[in-house]
Amino acid sequence: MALLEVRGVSKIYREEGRSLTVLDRVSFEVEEERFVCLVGPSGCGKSTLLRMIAGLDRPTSGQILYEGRPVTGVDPRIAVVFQSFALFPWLTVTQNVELGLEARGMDPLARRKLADRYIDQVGLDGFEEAYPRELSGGMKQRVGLARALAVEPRLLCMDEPFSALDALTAQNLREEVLSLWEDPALKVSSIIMVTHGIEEAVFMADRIVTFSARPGRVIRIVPVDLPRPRNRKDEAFLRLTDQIYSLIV
Amino acid sequence: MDLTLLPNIGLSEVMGFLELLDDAGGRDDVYRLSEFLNLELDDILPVIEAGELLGLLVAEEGDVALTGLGRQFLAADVNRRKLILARQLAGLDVFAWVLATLHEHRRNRVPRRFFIDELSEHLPDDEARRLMRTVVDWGRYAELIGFNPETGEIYLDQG
Repeated sequence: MALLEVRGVSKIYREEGRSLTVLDRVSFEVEEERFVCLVGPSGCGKSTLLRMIAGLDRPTSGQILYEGRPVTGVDPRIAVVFQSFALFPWLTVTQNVELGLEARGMDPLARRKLADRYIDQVGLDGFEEAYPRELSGGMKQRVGLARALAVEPRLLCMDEPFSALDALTAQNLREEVLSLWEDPALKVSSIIMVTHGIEEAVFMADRIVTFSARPGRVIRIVPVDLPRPRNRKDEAFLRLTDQIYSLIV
Repeated sequence: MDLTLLPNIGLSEVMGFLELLDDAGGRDDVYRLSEFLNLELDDILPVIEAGELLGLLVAEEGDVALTGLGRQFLAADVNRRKLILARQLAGLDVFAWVLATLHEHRRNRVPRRFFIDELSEHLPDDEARRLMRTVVDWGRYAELIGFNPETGEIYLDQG
């Protein structure tokens, strides 16, 4: 059984007699211990689909199954990292990371211990008392990551997590996310990441689900069998990147 | 004290640059890297400067190359990287001064304002503030120092 199954999912927005089909009969699966990227042009519905997977929205038709059961709302075993960091500016790093744990009714000592562990894992030791305004973009996204990891999800959803960062910080964080995912001590089994960067997808993913322009349909699911760690300058990397561009453009 | 200004750059950018340099086999032409990253000279020079100050790369005649320490740094996990950075930072004059000052003071805590005022004797005010911002940012990441935003105090991070 796949960890996640998306079966014939469509999303249609209707208003004042008009309708807009954003996603059209999308189907794919995410197995355990897989890194899957959703790639396609802006507006093709990738982020909408990710929100539905996370239980933040619902399909108009079709089904999303997590561990064989329909997703009907927010699931504690699925966490999200956002492009815009989504931190609360009046909370410190530790308080932001603890937020999801507090919402689950975890006692203060236990959540502090868990928060500290993931703050350490993402390299934020030393910034526990900092407020978001003191942090660079890269540090803010580390907070977003620690907050998502602290709830110990099995499936981590990431919506263009590096888009708001400069090129070098983004590269640094990509490597760190891959290191974290490959850490056997981490509870995260699979990651599903939305990106409009094809090179980024080839760098990070085991499978790339390519989408057409709106309405978003799956063009092809491309396996990425390149050995890790990957090198952007390798011939095989460049060939695969070109292949995916050819599918979408 | 040698007031060599620290480049106004985050450590994440330096680490990202080292990783890209590693992809190129550890050495590359600055021009090619700038093109690949779509960065102007003013954007890439501070990153290179920071990498050199930290002993992680060397730049000469338009090329940049990882040092042995740079390679060790890249192979290390996040906590070992922090140890390497802490050691390198402690060897920079401005950090040595901050650390010595903290050691001398009660409870190893000093208001950030103190450091800015001292630096303002030698630098324009805005440069003094910018320098201290970088010191706090790098020092916190390396877990050499901490900063309490409520009290405005910098303190020794003793683990």
